[in-house]
Amino acid sequence: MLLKTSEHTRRKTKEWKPLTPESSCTTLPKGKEEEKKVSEEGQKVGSGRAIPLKQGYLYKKSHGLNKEWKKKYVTLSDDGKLSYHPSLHDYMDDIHKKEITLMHTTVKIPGLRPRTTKTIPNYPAQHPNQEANGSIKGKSNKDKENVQLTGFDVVRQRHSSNSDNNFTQPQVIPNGDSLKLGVNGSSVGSKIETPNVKKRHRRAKSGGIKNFGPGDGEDSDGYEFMIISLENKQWHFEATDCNERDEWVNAIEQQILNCLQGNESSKSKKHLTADPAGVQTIRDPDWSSLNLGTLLCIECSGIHRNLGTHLSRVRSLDLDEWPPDLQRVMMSIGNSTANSVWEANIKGRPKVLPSSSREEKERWIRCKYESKEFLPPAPYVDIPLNQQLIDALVREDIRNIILVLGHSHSDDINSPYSKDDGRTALHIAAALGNVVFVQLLLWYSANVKVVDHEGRNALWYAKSSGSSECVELLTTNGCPENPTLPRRRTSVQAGKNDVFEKLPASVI
Amino acid sequence: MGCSASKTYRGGNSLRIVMVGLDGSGKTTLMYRLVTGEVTEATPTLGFNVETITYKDNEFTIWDMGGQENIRRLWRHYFLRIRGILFVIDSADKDRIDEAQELLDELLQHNELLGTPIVVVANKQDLDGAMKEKDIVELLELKHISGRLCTIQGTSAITGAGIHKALDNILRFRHHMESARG
Repeated sequence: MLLKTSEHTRRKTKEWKPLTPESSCTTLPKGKEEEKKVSEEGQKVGSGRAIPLKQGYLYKKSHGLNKEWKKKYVTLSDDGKLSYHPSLHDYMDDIHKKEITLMHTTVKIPGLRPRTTKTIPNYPAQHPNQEANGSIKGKSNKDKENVQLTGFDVVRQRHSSNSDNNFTQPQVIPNGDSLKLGVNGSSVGSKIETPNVKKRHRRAKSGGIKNFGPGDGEDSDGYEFMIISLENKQWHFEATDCNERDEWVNAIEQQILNCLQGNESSKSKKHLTADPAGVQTIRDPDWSSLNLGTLLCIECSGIHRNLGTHLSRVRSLDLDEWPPDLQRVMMSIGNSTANSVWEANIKGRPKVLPSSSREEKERWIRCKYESKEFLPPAPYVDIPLNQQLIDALVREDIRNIILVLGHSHSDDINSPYSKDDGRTALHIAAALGNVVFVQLLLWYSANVKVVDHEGRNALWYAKSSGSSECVELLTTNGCPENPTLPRRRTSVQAGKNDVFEKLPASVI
Repeated sequence: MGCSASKTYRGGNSLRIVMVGLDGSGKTTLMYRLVTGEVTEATPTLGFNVETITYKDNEFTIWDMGGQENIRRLWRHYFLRIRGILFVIDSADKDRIDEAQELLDELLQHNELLGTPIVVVANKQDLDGAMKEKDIVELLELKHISGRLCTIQGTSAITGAGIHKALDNILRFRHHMESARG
């Protein structure tokens, strides 16, 4: 407390003094004001301050004109705020505090792509302007096609009045150097922290594609990271080594995510699996594949998304909505059941582990779901797949349903059971009133418009089973209220027309 | 186009673009294809990514927003001084095209985005069975969009086809709006 008072008086007496070159004239009164505010708040809070999740010294690039790197005591708290003080003393006294609300920010390492992405080496790097100039042969044809396809434009109104705003508010985000941030950006502590100023040389920049941020490109030997807000405010920090930087970045990312989730008061959907034991080996099973009925970690969810939605439909447990029927799909399959089918035939190949590299995981996932290498053969060799599917549905045998669906194409799924029985798998699932089966079949491209030998469609069967869930699901998927006439009758009519057409004109 | 030129304050030349669309439509892969010219494999975006690129002497600041439902509700916070919208869809996902259409409708009703030009990016054209641009125009009812410039652009973030045409359209729209204002 003693230190705080002396600090106060020192700053007050300093106020009239001529300004040093480092200090900017606009900041002094503001700084004082802010300091006062902060210390008032500090008194209000008293000694009951929360313990930060992470704290320590980092270098921070000042927002002033000189862009100096200054040592700051940085703290990350669990309310989604990152604060920094000129020193540990100031932090303890809770003065000279600056705060960043992480909710609407993103954290990145300058010059690098997001840490969660990786480059696929198979595709050649390409300069953006190259393609635009058509200098790459073989590409040009494809581009021409695109030009033709893009023939349509809609111009109903030339411009609206508020578009003027768009042009009077220029935005520049080069590397932060030329970006003059608001008054908040200038550091109060800068005037008393000169001993901590870090001497650095600006790195030379190379041409080519310009990412922004200091230390362009892969040149990140400074262990910098930056926080960017939606208003384009930027804060540059620097750690002493790579690990420290990554720890900070991970912790901040986690806080941003927590803010996003907490903000919408989403309930945790951690229970969304049929077998909690089956997902114990997954580090953070926060993601799911709807049609496979399994939980995934975020890394695998990225790989699953690349398979395409015909193989896997990825959803977040926390960030997406979960209507009851989707929850029921998840509850009726689960990782153990799914793996008992999709990994039944791994022939002694070692399974990937949470610690495996992304490449290994991707190879495994593609073998498992794309080339279906571990999928055992369908239960019977001599029975058509459509019949096996319907048999499994009637027996409500989820394991065999998954297995047969894994082998089926849309033709199999939409074929009638037999010549005499025109019902398809979707009709049967609807008749059973089983919304999980109906949903699974729809994901495996079951056609809602198919009618049976009596001219009835899946919606008719769903209604007769009394399942309002199935009725709703089929309706939203475009199953018509009045089915089109069965194929047999239309073919008869078509036949009749043929007869008429063949008759000589005089007969008609 | 000197490197340093883009680093200095050049009034009005940085185009602030927002890239939105359903989860898994390929927004992040598309953005990093534009920025690095390489194919990246993204994991779902938690929050947003932002990058600045220079293309044809214009600086674009692209905001790539996470597409999960709870993150979508936060998009509106980012709709400040937006010069163009890239609305990205997975052309191979027929089942979610209705959801995409509803999302687009909702998006266009934001006050902050009134009159903002939109380029519908029909991504994943490299996949078998991808819907063609003309089909998507119908399904998304793009011809009913009024009060703003609108077009569609087929792309593949994997092959790189069409991705720069999307930016060309943004530039063309800006030029159009500027000349219309006289």
